Amino acid sequence: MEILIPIILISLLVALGFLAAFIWAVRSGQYDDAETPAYRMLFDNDKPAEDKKEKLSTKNKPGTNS
Amino acid sequence: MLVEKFHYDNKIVKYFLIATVVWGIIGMLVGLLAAIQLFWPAANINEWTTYGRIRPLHTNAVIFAFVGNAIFTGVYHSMQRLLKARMYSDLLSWFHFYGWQLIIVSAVITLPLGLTSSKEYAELEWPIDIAITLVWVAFGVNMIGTLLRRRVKHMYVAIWFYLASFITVAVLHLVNSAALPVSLFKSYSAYSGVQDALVQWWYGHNAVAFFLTTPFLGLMYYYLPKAANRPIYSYKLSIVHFWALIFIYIWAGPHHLLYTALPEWAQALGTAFSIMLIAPSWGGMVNGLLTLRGAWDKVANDPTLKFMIVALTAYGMAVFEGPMLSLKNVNAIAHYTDWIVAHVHIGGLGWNGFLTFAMLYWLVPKLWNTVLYSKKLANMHFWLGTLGIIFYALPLYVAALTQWFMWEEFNADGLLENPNFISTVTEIMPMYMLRALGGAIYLAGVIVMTYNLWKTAKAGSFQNNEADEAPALEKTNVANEYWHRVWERKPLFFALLATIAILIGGVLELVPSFMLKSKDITTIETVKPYTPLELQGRDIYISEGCVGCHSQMIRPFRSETERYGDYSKAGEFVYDRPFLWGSKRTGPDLHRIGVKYSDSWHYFHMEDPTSMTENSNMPPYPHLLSSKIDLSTTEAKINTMRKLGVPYEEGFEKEANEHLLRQANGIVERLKTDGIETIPEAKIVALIAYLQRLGTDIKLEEKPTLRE
Amino acid sequence: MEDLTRHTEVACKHCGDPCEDDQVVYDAVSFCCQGCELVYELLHEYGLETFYQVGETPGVSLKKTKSTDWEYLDHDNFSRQIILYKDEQIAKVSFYLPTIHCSACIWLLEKLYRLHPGIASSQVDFSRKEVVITFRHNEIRLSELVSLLHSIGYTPDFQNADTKRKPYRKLWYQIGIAGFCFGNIMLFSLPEYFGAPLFVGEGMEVLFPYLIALLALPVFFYSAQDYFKSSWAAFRQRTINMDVPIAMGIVTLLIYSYWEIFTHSGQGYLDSLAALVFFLLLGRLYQQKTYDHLRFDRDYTSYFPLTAQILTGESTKAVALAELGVGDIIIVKNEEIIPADSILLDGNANIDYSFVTGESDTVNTRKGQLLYAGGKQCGTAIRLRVTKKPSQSYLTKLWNNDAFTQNKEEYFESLANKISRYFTPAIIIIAIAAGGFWWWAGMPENALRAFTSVLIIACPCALALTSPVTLGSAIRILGKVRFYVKNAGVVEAISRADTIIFDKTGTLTQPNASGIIFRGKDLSAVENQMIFTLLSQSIHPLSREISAFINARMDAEITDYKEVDGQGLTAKINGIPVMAGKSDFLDKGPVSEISENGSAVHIAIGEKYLGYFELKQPYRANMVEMIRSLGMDYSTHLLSGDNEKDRAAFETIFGERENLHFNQSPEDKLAYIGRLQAGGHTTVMLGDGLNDAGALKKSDVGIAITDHTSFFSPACDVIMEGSMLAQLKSIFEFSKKSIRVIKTGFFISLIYNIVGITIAVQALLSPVIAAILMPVSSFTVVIWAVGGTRLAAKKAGLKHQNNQQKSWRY
Repeated sequence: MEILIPIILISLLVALGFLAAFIWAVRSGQYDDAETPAYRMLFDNDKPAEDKKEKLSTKNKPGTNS
Repeated sequence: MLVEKFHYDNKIVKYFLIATVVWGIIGMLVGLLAAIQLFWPAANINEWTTYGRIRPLHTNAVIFAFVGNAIFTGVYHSMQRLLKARMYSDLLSWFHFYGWQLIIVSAVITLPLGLTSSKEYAELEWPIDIAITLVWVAFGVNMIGTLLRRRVKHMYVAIWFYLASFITVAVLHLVNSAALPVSLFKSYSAYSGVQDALVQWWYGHNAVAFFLTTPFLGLMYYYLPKAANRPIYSYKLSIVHFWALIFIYIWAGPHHLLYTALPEWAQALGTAFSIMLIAPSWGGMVNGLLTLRGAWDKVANDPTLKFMIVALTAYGMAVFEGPMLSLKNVNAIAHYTDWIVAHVHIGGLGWNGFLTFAMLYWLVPKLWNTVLYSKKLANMHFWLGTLGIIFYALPLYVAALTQWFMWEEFNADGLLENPNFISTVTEIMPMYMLRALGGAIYLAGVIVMTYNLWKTAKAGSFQNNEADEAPALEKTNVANEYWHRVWERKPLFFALLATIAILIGGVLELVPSFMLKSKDITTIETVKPYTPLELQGRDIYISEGCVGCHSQMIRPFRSETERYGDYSKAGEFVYDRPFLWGSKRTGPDLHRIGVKYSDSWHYFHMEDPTSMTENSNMPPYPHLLSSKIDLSTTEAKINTMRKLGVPYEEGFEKEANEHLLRQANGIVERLKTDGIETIPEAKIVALIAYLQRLGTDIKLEEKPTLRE
Repeated sequence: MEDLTRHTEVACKHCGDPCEDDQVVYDAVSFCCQGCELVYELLHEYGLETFYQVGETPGVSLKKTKSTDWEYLDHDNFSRQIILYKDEQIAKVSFYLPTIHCSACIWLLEKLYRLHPGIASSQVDFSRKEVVITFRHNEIRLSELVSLLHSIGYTPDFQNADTKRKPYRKLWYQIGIAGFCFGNIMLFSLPEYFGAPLFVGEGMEVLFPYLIALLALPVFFYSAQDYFKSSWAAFRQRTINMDVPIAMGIVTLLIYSYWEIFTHSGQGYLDSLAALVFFLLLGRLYQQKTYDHLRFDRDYTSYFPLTAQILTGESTKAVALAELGVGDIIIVKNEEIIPADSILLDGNANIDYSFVTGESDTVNTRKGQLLYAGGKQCGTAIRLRVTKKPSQSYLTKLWNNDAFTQNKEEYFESLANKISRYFTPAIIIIAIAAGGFWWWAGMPENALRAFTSVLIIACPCALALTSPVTLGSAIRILGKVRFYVKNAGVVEAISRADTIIFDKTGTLTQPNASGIIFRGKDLSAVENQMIFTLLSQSIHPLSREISAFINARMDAEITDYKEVDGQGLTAKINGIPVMAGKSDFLDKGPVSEISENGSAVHIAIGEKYLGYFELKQPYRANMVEMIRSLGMDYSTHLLSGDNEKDRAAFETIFGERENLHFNQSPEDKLAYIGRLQAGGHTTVMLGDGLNDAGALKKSDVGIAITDHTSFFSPACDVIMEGSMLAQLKSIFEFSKKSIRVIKTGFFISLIYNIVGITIAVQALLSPVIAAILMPVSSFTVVIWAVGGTRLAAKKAGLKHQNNQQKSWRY
């Protein structure tokens, strides 16, 4: 059953990789604000200002990209 | 650091979306055919469509084609919007798309032809494995590149799920596809017997985890809030449950091998971890379902949310059923029966299927800038799908329990109540029919959806590049964030490549070194390597996909040792490359089949199974009688086996073919006495040689005590 | 049945308030006020109208917002505080916006770059209601940025932005790593837990211990590093502190386990080592959290309602320091402390910074210059504009700086230090003895267990914690009864006091009662104004009452104003000399007889005597019972600067004749207290803190009685509100009881240590259990300290001011 040795080592390596990623995430402030991202992802990209202007001119376009 | 204008790439999303629907239908059609074949053997039309060959096609098509493309659709759409950046390189995106479709097409070709490695969910042969690795790495590079050029500092939890899936699937695929090629379309696994079983199921379970669960949790965390237009219930919970899931999941492999020849403590470890998995998995479900508290009226009239709710509930059920199944006493019942198939399909049809449909119903109107063609049809699909799942899963639960109790039933004087296996199979034929009906209903729902989405798309106007603008992420950081800057830019990218390099290096260097040392496994002296003829016979067994219905692992239960013979020891499988323990007993266990039936019985049975056991649902294999084995491959096979550690003497490969023919002629003589004319090179002769050899090495010794 | 009233009202499109009379309509949409309509227009002009689709009526009503000028933000000593980062091109600032309330606010506040090209990017933190804006400061000034935010309804609030609590990020890492390794070590020892024979003879039983040894390293070097650092620092100063035994325990566990693993003679105890560190760190985290919580409570500054006079329009209003905002205009009178850094608007201020800097010569400052908090104004009242949020902690630090406190070393503080100096070496000796005994008895495993568990279980921290926590919560409770104690030592001194000395005026008598009459020539309006201007400069209780009585404001130019302590005031108003005070100070008017317990303030303008104000001062409520009940177990004395006339009345109250002394000058009071202290008494003096500041300082405990707490004299140890005088007896009772709580606390921790060590010595106790018990013990001591004081307060009958109201209302 020596195959267990490489498998466990690889699993441990991957787990340590994820631990490192966890520490990087915390250090780089990913989790400083753990509430606003849930709202921010809801906002869609509304058209930048200038497309908006020429879009307004064609009033009858069906459906708005809300 | 001004406001930058850029465009999202919607074209790639459209292509993956179409691929998802197309492969979804094809995969499910193949599944329906396989379900029908189980109760109506005539549906095995010819050599290329027997159940053994198309079952792997169904699993690969549904997992890697349908679910795979659905993941890529969702990832390419959501990632660009979450990071407010176009994909890193369009070239990589299209290489990934066309590469992935090519791989699927190659599977559709090779699997029916019988070119398979027989390892479940990794059946594709070694050249395709390499192609998968290349395309997968391209996908990863594209994702990480986009990440480094993002314009939003915070990486939403969905991104973390996508990244974790990429990294872990890469590692799993590399380790499990380790095989030594014999020829362009044949390879022998680098591991043998018990170890091959462990590696396969360490991959098997984690492929389910990191291909069917974590990416879909990422999709759920993006599309559920978008469809419900409400923030996720608790963003902190999503962070905690992600890291918990990641740290534990990788250890849960062994629960697929309970009561087999795997060491006791490894089985206990597997069970312990599976139980621990309930908490993080349910964390995801709870987080999703509670997002809709207070908005259940919305669910009533929005099919997308209906699909999502059933998807999340099915996910909750499947990930609770999993740990229960890994308890030894429950596993004793469920292993090898249809219970496992029901568990798989609740997760597959319910969680993966329904979440994909929800994503499509939300995405198509948005991408084509229009409104869904018909909400009535969407609701109809929802009810068809739900009925389909119920009709699929419930009959199988009943079938599993009926079959198990019939297997282990003893009558008053201590003999098996149902000695011949077929009586337990005919008993559950009606359940198989109901299952096929469930599958058909589910497929009908999908076709309704396809029509609905097609009409929606025709009414809308597609926009290949959707514009957006966002301020670039400022590089200036507050003084004490020096470390942040150092980590952010180059080192992260190279650190990632370094870990992948180490992994590959580690695998290539570690694995062979352990293979050579495998001799000191508790070898039983009487177990000898396969003769050349038996080796060819074993490869036929593999290419026909017999492992799909027959297991070769007798568990230490009195009901099994009484029915099949002595329970299987670890030492017997030492020369089995790949291992053929199997995971489903549609047919009886074959590990002690050697010398149990005469050669002629096998001959007639293979030609037409119902001739030997009436109303058997085994497909007929008449072509085995006529077609011949390719003797030129014997030498390469023996060489490869010796390289992998099987003790063939030096130079044996030269006279391997004479040895083969000598043994084949012996069988031909025996068949002649029963009036059967055949030629030594016929496939049936090699197959008979292999079947007669199975489990015979152990009989010579005295009977070891039962371990019950 | 349709609700008629709602039918007529139309909700404002922007903020959802009902639009009453000043409804504004703009392209067929109605708004409740002009402000809301302007924002609607602005957003449409910049293409941000999806704001009204993200949430319905998401805006903030602008009806009440008054337009304020923000340009003071631009000068750098203010902007320096809120600018997070600045380089030559861009700057980063964080604002606290209380009006953030929905996802639409987040949506709008992250699209600010559309409203002004100068803004680069903005990020909202919803839970903290903060926005971090990066802008190009040469294109848009800070004040413009703030007025832009203000115009769309999100006014930054600079006052009470909650201070960012320092996250214990490092401690979290250590706990995370210790937890990760602890979990994995246990996993690798699973086979050993399941019983060794399961191994099928491969290299497993060698590989796993090596992995365990590997995983123990981060725990040892990273998670436990604080223990090693602090014990190493203790060694360098050749002392021993609490962390030394713990560090020794960890080191021995590791070395012994490594020895066992690498000689294949066992599995080692690394899982208990990791568990040990994990629980120790958890205990430390919990301790720090409770300490923060307690310190916040103990921070009595939040109970110390120093008030300031704010000029609103014409009249002045007393406002608690916490509400004093930047930009408010305040009046500081003679002898009053400047509550916050501010700019002088008018009046010549010469500021005595003796509290702040220690040297006593006053600093003369011109108009527009910055005055620092803590300075005392000597001279006429001055007008100031506040530039920095007043911080009470600064003022109270001032109150405690060593210029004033005699070194009242806390008795119990010293006791704890004495014990812990001998405690730790004793523990180490016991541990070595126990370890040696077991080793000699031939049971090395027991030796290790005994040695480490003795080191871990012993917990001197219970001793060190008891007295600060008990006294801290005692001070907090006394604060609630408006009895503001300077520091913990004072509570101890009160519990040891046996003599109480009272001052009469302002202490026993009720000030600002209504009985004021002017005896003499009736005063003209101008004379009244001149007297008012003179008296309103000083904060002496009598002058404060008279100026409240006259209340005739006139803006006059006051020159060479002088206040003689306890005698009277003189100044030239518009050049005419005006005098007020005692009759012999003016040496003009008759020494007229004043009725019982009244006092007189004689007035002379331009060398002409006009008459005197007679103020009748009745006794404070139930003052007589208080003194009689105190008289039973304390010897009570009265020292008064007034004349003999009400000696008879007080004799009935105080009992002993020889303890009453009148016509006492501040120096006589000082000498009297000295004689009492020489006689071995610990004295508590109550006075109004003005003319007997010296005596208050000399007495072991000086209590200043005030009624409007804008007065603040650093000479006293306690500031007490007059209305609370009746509770003086229960206050003394309470301080005695809290000392008893400390003694029982010491007793508990001693018992815990003795029992713990006896068990540990017999090697019955595993180190992991010890690691759990140790934080539990310090935790129980803290709970006992806080709970005990609350119990003592209830038993002593301390009635909280607000409790009474509460009980009345419910």
